[in-house]
Amino acid sequence: MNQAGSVGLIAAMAFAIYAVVAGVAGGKLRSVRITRSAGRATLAFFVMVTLAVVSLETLIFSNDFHNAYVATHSNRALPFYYKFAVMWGGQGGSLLFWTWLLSIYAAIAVLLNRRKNRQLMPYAISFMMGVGVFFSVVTFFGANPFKELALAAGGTTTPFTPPDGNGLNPALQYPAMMIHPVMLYLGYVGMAIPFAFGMAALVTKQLGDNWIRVTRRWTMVPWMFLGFGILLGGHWAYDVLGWGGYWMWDPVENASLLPWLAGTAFLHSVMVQERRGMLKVWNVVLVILTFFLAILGDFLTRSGIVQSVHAFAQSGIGDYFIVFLSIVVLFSATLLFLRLDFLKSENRLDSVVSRESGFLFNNWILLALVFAVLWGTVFPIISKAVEHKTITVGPPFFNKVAVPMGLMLLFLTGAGPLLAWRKTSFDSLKRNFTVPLVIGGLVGGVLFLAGVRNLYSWMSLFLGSFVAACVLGEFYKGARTRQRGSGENFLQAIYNLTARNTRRYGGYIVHIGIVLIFVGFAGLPFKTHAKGLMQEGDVLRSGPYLLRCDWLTSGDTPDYTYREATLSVLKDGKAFTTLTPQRRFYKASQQPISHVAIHQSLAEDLYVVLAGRDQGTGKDVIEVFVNPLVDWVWIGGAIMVLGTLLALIPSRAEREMAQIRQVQWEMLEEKNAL
Amino acid sequence: MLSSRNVRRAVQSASRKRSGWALLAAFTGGLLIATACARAAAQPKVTLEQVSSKVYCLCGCATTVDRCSDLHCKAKAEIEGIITQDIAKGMDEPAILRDLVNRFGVRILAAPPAKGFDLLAWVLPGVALALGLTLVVVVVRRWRRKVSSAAESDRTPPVDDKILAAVEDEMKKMDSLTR
Repeated sequence: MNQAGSVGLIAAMAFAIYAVVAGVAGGKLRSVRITRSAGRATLAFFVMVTLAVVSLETLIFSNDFHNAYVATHSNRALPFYYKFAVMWGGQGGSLLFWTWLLSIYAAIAVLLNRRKNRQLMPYAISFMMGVGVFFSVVTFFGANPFKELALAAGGTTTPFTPPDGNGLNPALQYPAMMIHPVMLYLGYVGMAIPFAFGMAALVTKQLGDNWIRVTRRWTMVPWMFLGFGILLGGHWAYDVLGWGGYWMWDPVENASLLPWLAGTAFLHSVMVQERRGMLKVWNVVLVILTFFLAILGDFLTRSGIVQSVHAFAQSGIGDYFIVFLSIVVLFSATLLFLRLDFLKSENRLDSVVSRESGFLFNNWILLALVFAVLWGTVFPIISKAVEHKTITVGPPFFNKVAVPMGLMLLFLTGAGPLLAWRKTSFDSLKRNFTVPLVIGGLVGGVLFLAGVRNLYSWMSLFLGSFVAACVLGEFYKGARTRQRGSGENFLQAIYNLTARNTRRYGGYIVHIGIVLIFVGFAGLPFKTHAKGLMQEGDVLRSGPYLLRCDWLTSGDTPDYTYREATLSVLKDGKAFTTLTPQRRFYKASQQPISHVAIHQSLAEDLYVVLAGRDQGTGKDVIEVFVNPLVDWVWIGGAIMVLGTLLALIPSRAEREMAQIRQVQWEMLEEKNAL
Repeated sequence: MLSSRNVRRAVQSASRKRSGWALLAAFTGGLLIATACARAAAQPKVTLEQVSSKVYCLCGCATTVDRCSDLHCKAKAEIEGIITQDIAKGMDEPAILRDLVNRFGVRILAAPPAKGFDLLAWVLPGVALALGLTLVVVVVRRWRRKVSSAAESDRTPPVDDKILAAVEDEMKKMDSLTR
């Protein structure tokens, strides 16, 4: 299997190189045959990487500890379902997995564009497979997961197979970890496809609407996956790390946020190009930047260049990434510079108070946020190089710098959609903003009187209610207009309104999701924490909750030993719930980890951790956090995903337009053939 | 010559504009007052959790002291001990942080100090934000100037706000019905 995996990787590399060359040749010579050949090589690339993935999975599931990767990241007692996670539990496996996801994206892009985008496709294939070459090279030469264990003695090496492996990192043995890395990787890798189409558009000078239409959809998909992956990562941190929070501004977390923010900027500014033919250069820059940040994020995660709780062990693959990132920047910047004449705006700004300006301001804040987060993340490296001293840039810095920008963005989330294209009149401003401002003001006033004194929380809830009123107002006004024209009832009108413009109303639903996430953030300053040493019969108070330790048990499984506390919880003196936090000790990796017990509600979570046993007293340490409003973060995230999925569904008008374009294209092809 | 109807329209239009500005000013003013009140009302009280969230644990866990989940972490215990003692002495947060820096060096801070080279960490995001805003304003003004000069040469009359609002309403209706 090791040989099969290596052969698969080498063959994949060869097919990718061929696809790059054939793509360029097909584009230059305008040869359909050569382009098809490049497409088939892309499919062959997918097949060969799949062979390598299947080989590694077979090695993992058969407990073949002769393979170094399997011996380091798996063990016999690891539950069946977590064996899948071994694939992304280490450097080599996750790089192979990344390459496989890229091959899937590329194969889908080729299959979906067999009859479309014929000028763009040859070069798009070349760029996609250029990225494929890079990842197959890094996987094979930098962190090959198919290396065999051997003992070196007396100048000779003999094969070695340990009886069991070191096991999977306990922190990864958690259900969300089965999908969090997959979602995140789908987000990172997917950004290669819009980049490839953007570059192809620059090469072919086909810089009209078409590449934007293609790229927008190809950006939305990875953007959604990346956002969902970030959310799942937060949920994992909340459930596993045991400190009662979900975001710690860790460099690896920041690395995932950067391409998501840049992608968000692109998804907004692309609308200005579609509607008004403006911001063409800017959109190309954003496509390049998003891809660059996705690769940079991968580099930060894998190179060990930044200190992080997530990062893989330090390795030598950082050099590969530096070279690749340099090539991406140099090549794309040069190409963009050479094509500036083809990227002139078709229109000018009619008014400062317009939707176009709204998008400009949205992009300004998003990019400033990208800079701030990136700057804070890499500043320790810069400081070390310049001042030769170790400093850390953590949550206090990011909270001060990024949170105000986030609040400005929240305001624009509501205000932007209320501005009209080209020019918004004073009457229109007054009409559209009065109700949301009054609602926001009322909510803000009530909160202030109710004792909400934390500035960021107050702002989040005030602006959140303003934005919710703006967005829901758009639904209401649209539905009322439909009702007057068609006689539908209100719900029918809402449904038809949304179905007829899935993109716009899907976007609004995403905005509602953002509001709910900020509602969740607003609860952060009100978090409380209590800690106590407990034995059976002891009680611990935290706010309105009283926890009584009913019993403490210990147990043994093939994979880990554990200690479990059963705690009866009373709220305001009445029986409330029973929670059973666990502390596990994984035998193979010799690592402890807490399994948190959480009682969730929309108002607050009661979050209990069995942190371990106090060496002095022999008692168990119980930590209790009361986290207000946390669940709104997960609900908001889920709504964002639903909104994006809705926006991805083509509306009837879009489907009809696509059919018309296809017929026009086929007629043109026939004409050319004649 | 202006007819009385045109004069009335002009007066109404100016009045609408004034009330729009007044609404915006009231909103901004209200926001500023409320935020100032909220800030003034917040009475910071130094707690162990507050300070431990601003210093890094030195055990290599790559998290702040309050988030270090190792129950037997000696570094965490030592740092928390110092913070507790300092709070008991009545020291405020900056003084406690200074004390920790004197003992462990600047690496203990979870945010770089705002002085010397490290000041750059704090300043540059603000500079980037300001530069970005300047860029946006310059671009908008340039685009607007070109539009103005083009409009002047076209000698097209300015569009009345009322007509513009009616057109916007019609477009929104069309948009809702057709898309």
